Amino acid sequence: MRDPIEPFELRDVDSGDLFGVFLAVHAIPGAVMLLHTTVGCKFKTQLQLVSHDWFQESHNQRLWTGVDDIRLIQGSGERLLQFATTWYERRRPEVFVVSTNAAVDLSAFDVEQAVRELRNRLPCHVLLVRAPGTIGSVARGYGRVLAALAETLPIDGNGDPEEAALVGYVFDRYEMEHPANFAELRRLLRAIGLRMGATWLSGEGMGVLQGIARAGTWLVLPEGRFARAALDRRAGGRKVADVSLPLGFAGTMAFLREAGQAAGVPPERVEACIERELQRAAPLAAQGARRLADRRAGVFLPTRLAAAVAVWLAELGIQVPLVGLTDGEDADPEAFQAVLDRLEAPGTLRPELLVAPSRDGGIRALEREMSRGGPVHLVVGTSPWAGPLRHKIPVVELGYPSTRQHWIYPVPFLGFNGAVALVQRFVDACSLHG
Amino acid sequence: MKDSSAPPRKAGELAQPGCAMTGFLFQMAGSFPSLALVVFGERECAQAMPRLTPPVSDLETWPLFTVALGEREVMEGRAEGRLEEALRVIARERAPRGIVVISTCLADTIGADLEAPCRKVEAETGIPIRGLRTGGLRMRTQAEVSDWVTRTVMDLLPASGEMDPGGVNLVGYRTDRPPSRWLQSRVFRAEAARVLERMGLRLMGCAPVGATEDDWTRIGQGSLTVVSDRALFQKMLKRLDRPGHRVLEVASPMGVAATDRFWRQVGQAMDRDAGPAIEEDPERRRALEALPEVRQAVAGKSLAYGIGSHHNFRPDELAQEGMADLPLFLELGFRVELVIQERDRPDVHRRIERNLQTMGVDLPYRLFYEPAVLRPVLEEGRYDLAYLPDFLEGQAREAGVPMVRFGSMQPGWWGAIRSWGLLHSEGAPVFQQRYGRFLRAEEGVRQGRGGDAGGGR
Repeated sequence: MRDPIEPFELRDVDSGDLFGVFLAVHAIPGAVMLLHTTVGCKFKTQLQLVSHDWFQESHNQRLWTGVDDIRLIQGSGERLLQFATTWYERRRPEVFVVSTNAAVDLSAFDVEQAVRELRNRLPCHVLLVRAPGTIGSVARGYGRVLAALAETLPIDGNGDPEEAALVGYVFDRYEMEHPANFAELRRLLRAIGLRMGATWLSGEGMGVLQGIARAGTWLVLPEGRFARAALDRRAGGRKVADVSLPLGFAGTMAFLREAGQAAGVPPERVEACIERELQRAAPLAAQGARRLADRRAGVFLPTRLAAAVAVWLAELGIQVPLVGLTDGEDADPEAFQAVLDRLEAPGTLRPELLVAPSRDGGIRALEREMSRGGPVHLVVGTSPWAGPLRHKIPVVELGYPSTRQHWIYPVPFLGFNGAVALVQRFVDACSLHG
Repeated sequence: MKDSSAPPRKAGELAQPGCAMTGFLFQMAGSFPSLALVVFGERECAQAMPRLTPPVSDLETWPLFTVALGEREVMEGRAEGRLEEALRVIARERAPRGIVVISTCLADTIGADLEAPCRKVEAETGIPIRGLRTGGLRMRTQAEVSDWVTRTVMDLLPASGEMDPGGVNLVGYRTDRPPSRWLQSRVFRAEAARVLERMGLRLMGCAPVGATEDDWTRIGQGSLTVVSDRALFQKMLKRLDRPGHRVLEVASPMGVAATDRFWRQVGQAMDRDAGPAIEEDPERRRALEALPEVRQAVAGKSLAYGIGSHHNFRPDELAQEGMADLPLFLELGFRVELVIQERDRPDVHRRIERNLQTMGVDLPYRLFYEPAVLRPVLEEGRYDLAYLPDFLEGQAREAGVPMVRFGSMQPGWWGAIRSWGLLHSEGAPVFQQRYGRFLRAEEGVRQGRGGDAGGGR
């Protein structure tokens, strides 16, 4: 039963599309967001990344066009035109991403025309990705930028059948967990006979991103779903396939099988790869599993990430009584269950699901769970959960925002190596608390 | 610092403009557990609350809420109903001492009625509710917003009516609370309480920086309010105005001489001899002993002092248009130049010059029109050190100029010693001195994109 106050409480992340759009811009060097909004939206974009990304400052990829009441009344399209033209000369970006907020969307009807004009005037890509504010999510904003990028691709050719590109990788910062993930995925794809092509997004500029056209298969990760339709339109003769998030053993196995199937890799080659990997990684993970068995964990993450993490915890023998799906209006219990089914989750995994909980509501649910079912030894979630739990339950931070966990040394969380690295983190966290 | 012929000054003119809604979130989050702050707009606007850093991140419960307007409420004209529902639930479930409703651009654009729901629920529950038009469509200076926040809080948390003739308030100074109880004695608040006590006086409220609700109650007990920059708190000071209460404007106690001067002026205003309290203070003695060596190490070096980029709504950083910390550097003998985030236009120069003149600051300045282009300005100035907001660190690093974070200088004598420690003459830490030539890659963050360390493409 949801507390009546919960719909009005704040979540761990209250962002809508706007921050998702900026997150994507931050992941593309040479991209600049033209924030065609009112002044406060500055705080909803780059400020959100300051504590999360130690490696790459986020301020210089956002330009605020200076919209206020007077400019709205006079028509802000002209302002956008002048501003973007001037700033193109100063910055020479590879791509401008124009974004509006709810207030501008309701009152500025000349923005689209201005963007059309900019596309004619400027020798760079100009994408318009509105952020209405009343609807949307970080994932949707991020995915809509991917979709807009996809629309810039030429529709021709079939691509190289031995090259696979990834779409929907959430590149939320320039710290070392991401290169570690890329290295791991590249290694695994190579092991089944595929070359990893461009990854959307990966901290690479437009030149590299457009290399996606070389790949014969486009593998769409869960957070690429908002771009799926656009990818289908631009695929030409290429194969486009949804793939599982390669997190945990089950997630990674599913990913490799789905990727292999999409790219026409013989199944026995995929299975041989999986067999080899498990022979190496399973004994390592078992060292942790023995010690983690019967521990209890809560998970507070976006739906698809939460599902993959919950399955991996359950495979390690950790009970997962409570899962908060934190992706706001994208929080989706059916999608959660679908991942569990696809990954053949252990039957013991039947958590209470909180759909888009507030942060305080999630904490209350955790406290209820502890009084009902005994201690919870571990939470896997984002930083906002770590504050109120700091003297009670260790939080293993994953995803955005992770402001108390930074990766200076490359440690993956995807693939078989990432699965073992997660076990290490779970063990470390639990050990601290006996 | 000022003369009577100085032109009028509008506080906050040399800082970034701000959204009042964001300013309320910045200043109220984490400081007022008994008040509820409600964002009247779409959920996304509540994300402007700085939730990732203490103290807000560590709060057990957040006394901040959102009406979370959806598309239907906006299109069907039901925003007011949703606000009313939110207020009723918050009043019932949390029973705050007061509720502040801050509107967003969206609520303002659709012309949602802010007053009626507030009045209705206030009448029903008896909880005072203030509805404020804070949407960012109308840009304000951060100073205006800061003043608005403080007087709103004072309205909802009435100050004590019993004035203590020996009570002193400090308003607009760097009076942060210590991050842990082990550091209680190591903040300006503690030093201020000690010095005042030696003068037979008592420290009452310190606000708004680091203020708790107790500060806002005690502020009514002060017979003297010492303020860093009167222009920042005009409306707030009017609220404190009553028989027997006086206001004294004194520049921030940054550096030894400025701290001495600060307490002398306070003593004089309260008719006390501050001499013994100043001269016998152990921290001051330590500072005086250390000062010659520090001065010798840094005197003559050039410093880029950055203003115009601030956007955190902190009054101590906005005071004197961001130049409240200047005396600390000038006392050490730095050659200071201002670097100001502004456009290079005649009207801007006029505005800057008017402000500098008003504050009695006679320093050369250079302009940079946005953060991304600070680097060439720093290179051109060939500075030995830069004092800049944290987000400009990348520019300073690229320019090869050691940087100290704006706002890290501490007031008072102990604060001076601590601040000097950050200004080591050689600037760069040992690691940078030994391995600095390998650090250029850090700027391009190439290793973050799949470089060799992570298994490059």
